[in-house]
Amino acid sequence: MSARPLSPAARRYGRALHAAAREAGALDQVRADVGLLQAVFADEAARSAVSDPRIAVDRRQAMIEKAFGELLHPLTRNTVRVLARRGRLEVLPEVPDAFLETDDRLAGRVHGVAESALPLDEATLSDLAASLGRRLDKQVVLEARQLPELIGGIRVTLGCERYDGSLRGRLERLERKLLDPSTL
Amino acid sequence: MKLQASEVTSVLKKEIEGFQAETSSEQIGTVLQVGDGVARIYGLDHCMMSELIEFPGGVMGMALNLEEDNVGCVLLGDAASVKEGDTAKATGKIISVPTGDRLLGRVVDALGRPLDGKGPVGTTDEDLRPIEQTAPSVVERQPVCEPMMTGLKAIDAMIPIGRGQRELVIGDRQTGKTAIAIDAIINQKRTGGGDPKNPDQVLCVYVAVGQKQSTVVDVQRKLEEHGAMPYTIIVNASASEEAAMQFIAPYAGTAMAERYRDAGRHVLVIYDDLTKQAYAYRQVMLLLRRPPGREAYPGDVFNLHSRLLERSAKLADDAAKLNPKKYSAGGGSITSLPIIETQEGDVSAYIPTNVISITDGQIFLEANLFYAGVRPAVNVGISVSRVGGAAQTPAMKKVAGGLRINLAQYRELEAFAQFGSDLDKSTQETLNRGARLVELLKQGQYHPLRNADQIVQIFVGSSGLLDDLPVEQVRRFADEFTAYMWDTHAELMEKLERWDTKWSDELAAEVTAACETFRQSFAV
Ligand SMILES: Nc1ncnc2c1ncn2[C@@H]1O[C@H](COP(=O)(O)OP(=O)(O)OP(=O)(O)O)[C@@H](O)[C@H]1O
Ligand SMILES: [Mg+2]
Repeated sequence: MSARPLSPAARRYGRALHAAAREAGALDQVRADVGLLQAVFADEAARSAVSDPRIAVDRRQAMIEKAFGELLHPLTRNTVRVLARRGRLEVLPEVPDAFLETDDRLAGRVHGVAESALPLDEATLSDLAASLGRRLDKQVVLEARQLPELIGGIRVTLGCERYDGSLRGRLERLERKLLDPSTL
Repeated sequence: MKLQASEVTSVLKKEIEGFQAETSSEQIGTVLQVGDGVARIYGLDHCMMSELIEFPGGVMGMALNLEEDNVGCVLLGDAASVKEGDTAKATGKIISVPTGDRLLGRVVDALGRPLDGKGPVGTTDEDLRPIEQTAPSVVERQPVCEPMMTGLKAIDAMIPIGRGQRELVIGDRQTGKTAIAIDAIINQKRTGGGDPKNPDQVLCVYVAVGQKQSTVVDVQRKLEEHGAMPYTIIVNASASEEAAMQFIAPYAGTAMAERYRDAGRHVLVIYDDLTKQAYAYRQVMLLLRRPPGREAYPGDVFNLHSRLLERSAKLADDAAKLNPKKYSAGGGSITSLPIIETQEGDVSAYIPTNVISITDGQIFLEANLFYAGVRPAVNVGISVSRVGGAAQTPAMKKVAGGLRINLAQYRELEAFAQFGSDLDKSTQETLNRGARLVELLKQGQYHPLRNADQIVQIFVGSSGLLDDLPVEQVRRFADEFTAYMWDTHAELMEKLERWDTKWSDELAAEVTAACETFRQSFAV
């Protein structure tokens, strides 16, 4: 789950770009563009540069076109232009997430994180993804993350659903029970 | 201790194999914004209204505003420790509070945590009850049929309250609202000798909302002094606590009362007061950016009070048969005395009109009367109890029958009398009688009266036996006469104490004779 809700505007543009790419049979290329944009806008400076209202919209648009040049598929490039023409360039950094949300939904796929105190190897990770996938009847894609504070065990988060099998989680549950208001 | 890599792998492998079996999923979300005791959370897609939300460090919150992509939540603990970006967990539970006998005699907060320094409450998980409960259905109820006596003549004689009724106490600040509630609690000692184990003992819950800490301490001390704490629970969300605690306190107190109601017991609940509860709710909802309506209250403030007061009820005798899951015995009741504070007597403001429309009657207290020394300052002319006579013992009903009309005539003539001096005889008599009745209905704090005492006092007053006494001697006479009656006519008094005793000409003659005898020895 991303830490923030996507704005309704980003959702609209993301969905529209996805639909256009599907129709044009260009999903793979646009997906690659989206990955690129996501990587670029992970940087706070890049995000604020395109959103900065003190810079004229056409300057910001020119900056983006120059940075990405011919790298982007025409549909992706058009999305940038439409956003610029409507004065909504600040939405652009969110469009990749919105696009991928649609992509996942249509593919019956969920992205999630598997956290563990010790590193997880590939095989374990894919076993975990497969077993969760069977349970949820969805394709589960997991990203591994090491989190020593879990002490032991694994914690998987899919959207706002969390499966907590970590030692820390168990300790917390125990603590809560012991600190129950009625026993205070 | 050092673990071998292979061991780690095998442990991990076991974890993975066992992962499905033992972990159930939980709902999580991210704190988007926090401040002023509220938080907005992204995620928590399946969150319920009023669900308990847990934050890092064990701080709890309650979901109150469910929007499409975020949940508005009030924080119930140390709000300062919750930060933007924190993970919030839905617990799947509505806020619950401990209930049961261990709470009797205690002062607790809106979550049932002790505030009186007397150690842990010591309840178990089985004692927890959600603070929001559906009210008994129509078939699970029956009409109010037993008196809930306050011990105050002005109320028991003319505005009788029945068990299961909701009677509003409404008035400006400092007009004696709390005093009525406290006397009503103290008077319940008579129902079972103050022993909570006695099934006849009416139990009491006093919910203090938004009051000064010192006021609540005073209440507690007074209840202790009069032996009322053993059968009473005080739930206190004082003015210094979070708004959220103030607005859930009445629900928490009601959940504690329901535990007894559903087991066939009788409970009296005081909400002191719902005006401050509404303020707290308004404050929270404005912070959660719920669009405000009339007087800036959120649109569902009516519901806030109606769903609370719906839970006061007299259960059907066969409630346990109808709904064995919920009720272990029938016939139990919750009587509530919600209190509303008005500004300069304005009962047409939003919150007063709402609560007036929800309750089964109102006791109007007036500042003018209070300052004129008429205390309790009940305006008898406009106060009502819609349950009425069914909530009075037959003897009281008979004796007090003409009281209201007598007083109304008196007030009318009193206004006239100001203009001229030549009054005819009957007018003069009505004025004389009225002045004495008003005097008789005055009553000091912490002296609730027994049913028998009230009956004989009201009888001698309304039958004219006090007409020749100086007005300022009326109260002393009434008190001393009652004591005399217990000394010399104990059997008669005991008889009047019983709820089924009917008033008769013989009783009237006996009391009249006793009064005339006593009158001769009474030194004016
Ligand atoms: N019947 C009474 N006889 C004499 N004094 C009384 C009586 N009832 C109340 N008082 C006194 O009047 C004062 C106000 O009473 P009380 O606190 O009950 O009023 P209130 O309406 O609850 O006030 P607030 O608006 O502050 O909550 C108190 O000092 C109380 O002791
Ligand atoms: Mg008060």
